[in-house]
Amino acid sequence: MTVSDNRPKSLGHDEPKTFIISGNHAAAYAAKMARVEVVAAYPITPSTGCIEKVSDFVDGGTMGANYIKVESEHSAAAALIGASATGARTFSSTSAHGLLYMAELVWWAALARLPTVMSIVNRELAPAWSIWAQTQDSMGLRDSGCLQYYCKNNQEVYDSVIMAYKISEHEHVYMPSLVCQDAFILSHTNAPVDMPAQKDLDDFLPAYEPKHFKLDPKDPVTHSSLAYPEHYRQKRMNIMESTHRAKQIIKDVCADYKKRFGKFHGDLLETYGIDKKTKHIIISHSSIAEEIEVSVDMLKNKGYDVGLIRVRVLRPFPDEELRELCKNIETIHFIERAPSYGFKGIIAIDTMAALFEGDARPKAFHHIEGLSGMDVTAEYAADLIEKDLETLK
Amino acid sequence: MFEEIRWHGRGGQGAVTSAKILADAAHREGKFVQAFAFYGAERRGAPVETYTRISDCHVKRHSQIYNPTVVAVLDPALPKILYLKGLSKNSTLIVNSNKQMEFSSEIDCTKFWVDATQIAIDLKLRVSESYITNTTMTGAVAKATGLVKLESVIEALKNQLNERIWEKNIEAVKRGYNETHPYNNGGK
Repeated sequence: MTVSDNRPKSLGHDEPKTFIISGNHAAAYAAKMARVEVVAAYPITPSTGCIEKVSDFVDGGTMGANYIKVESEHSAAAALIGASATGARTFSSTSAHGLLYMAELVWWAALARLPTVMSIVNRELAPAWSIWAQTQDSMGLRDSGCLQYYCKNNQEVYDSVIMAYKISEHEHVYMPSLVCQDAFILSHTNAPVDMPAQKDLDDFLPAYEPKHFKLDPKDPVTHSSLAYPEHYRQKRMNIMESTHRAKQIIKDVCADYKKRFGKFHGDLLETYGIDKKTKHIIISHSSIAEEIEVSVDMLKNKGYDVGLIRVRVLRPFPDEELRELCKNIETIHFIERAPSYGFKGIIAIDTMAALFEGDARPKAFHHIEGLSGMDVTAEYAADLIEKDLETLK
Repeated sequence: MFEEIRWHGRGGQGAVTSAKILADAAHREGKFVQAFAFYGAERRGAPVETYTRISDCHVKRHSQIYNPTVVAVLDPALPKILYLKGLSKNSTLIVNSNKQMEFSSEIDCTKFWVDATQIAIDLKLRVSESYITNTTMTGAVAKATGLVKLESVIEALKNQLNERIWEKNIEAVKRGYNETHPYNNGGK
């Protein structure tokens, strides 16, 4: 075994395997194979399946993590912060109100530069009561410093959790990651997920060894003491720099993962059907975007010159990349599940801010769709775009 | 190949498992698959829909199935309006029924019937007040559509279910496979 014996065990993955599993289970397998050391979580629909699976692994003896039972999401995040500060690799999963309840400590983890990774199942907020998909729960934490990944299918969930550790634990990053998937549409849908052999994954993702500091009684340091403005400012500007720097690290890690395991879902963003002459671009995210790939095929068959950009990483935001892709386009069509009440879709707001630093001024069409997990079928999305384009005639 | 299978049952009858077993079986034969359900307030006895997609390439669609190529009905007492929606003449309908259930002439798809409830009674496949027809119907779908082999369904079942209930359910799959009848008028 190439792994030192004090790493938590992850049994049952001597060879590459494919499982037909839910998005929740994909995240759980990834946590197990990442040899996570500490898990703390509190169940909430629809993310419960993930921590149930982790709990099964731990109980069955195939996963060597310490599973801390807690009485709330707030405590779960607090436990992760403590454990992560000692240099442990940590994991949790939550959703909607669970995430908002831990929000204070999600910011804390970010501002303390702790590279914990959480699987977030994006779910609507109440009232009215809803358990279905919407991304405001995590996008509401957009400004916290957490790196945020929005996955389009179960394979991407698995791969992204693994890669998130490598990125978050990079010595030039040290920020938490939220790996997000749509409620039910991914979390409860069973689809094939390919997993590499454990030894190959171990080569890709070595043990976490913090280089800055550890919470260690033998080597005491003070955490979170009062910082006067000049020091506080410096710490926050460091976060600004680190999160910007994370863009290149995400690209490098995704390229390395692709080389080793043949899986690539885009890095900061993913394009579909775009070339240098494309005039009309759809921008979307999460599982909706994968269905819209079908819409793009339909529209191209009808003679429309359209392509798709899926914003995979919301923070750090792919601003330069979007400017480059959009510099010669005529229209931009946002289809997103994430409104910022009082303005527009969250990805639209960020994209338009990014484009403002360039010369392109495409006409923008805004569609808030799929709220509460409502189906956005390929046909429906194609129809939206066709109607947008008809208004130009 | 792009097949969209919609399963109709009642909460507690195991339609989610039907969708998973069929997907697992097709995956064993080298297909790309997806199995899911529409989740709401889960109540025993309430009508439920679940879905399986089987394709030659990666499945990109994530929406529910509106125009199924196959519909399988686990419970004969479900309102027809629920499961006949979206059927076309190229679709296949497989109903759990003790006889050739009558449909209006507009329903011109290919039809099959199987007495899955009787099979469940014979095999004592029962949870609380529900007769469990989910595994029988996976055998019936395999027979009626030829989408997957019987052996693949059995292997998938072993993967999806606890070993202690394999025996009865494998028998149910085999009986479902062997006792699925096309409608007299050539299936139409």
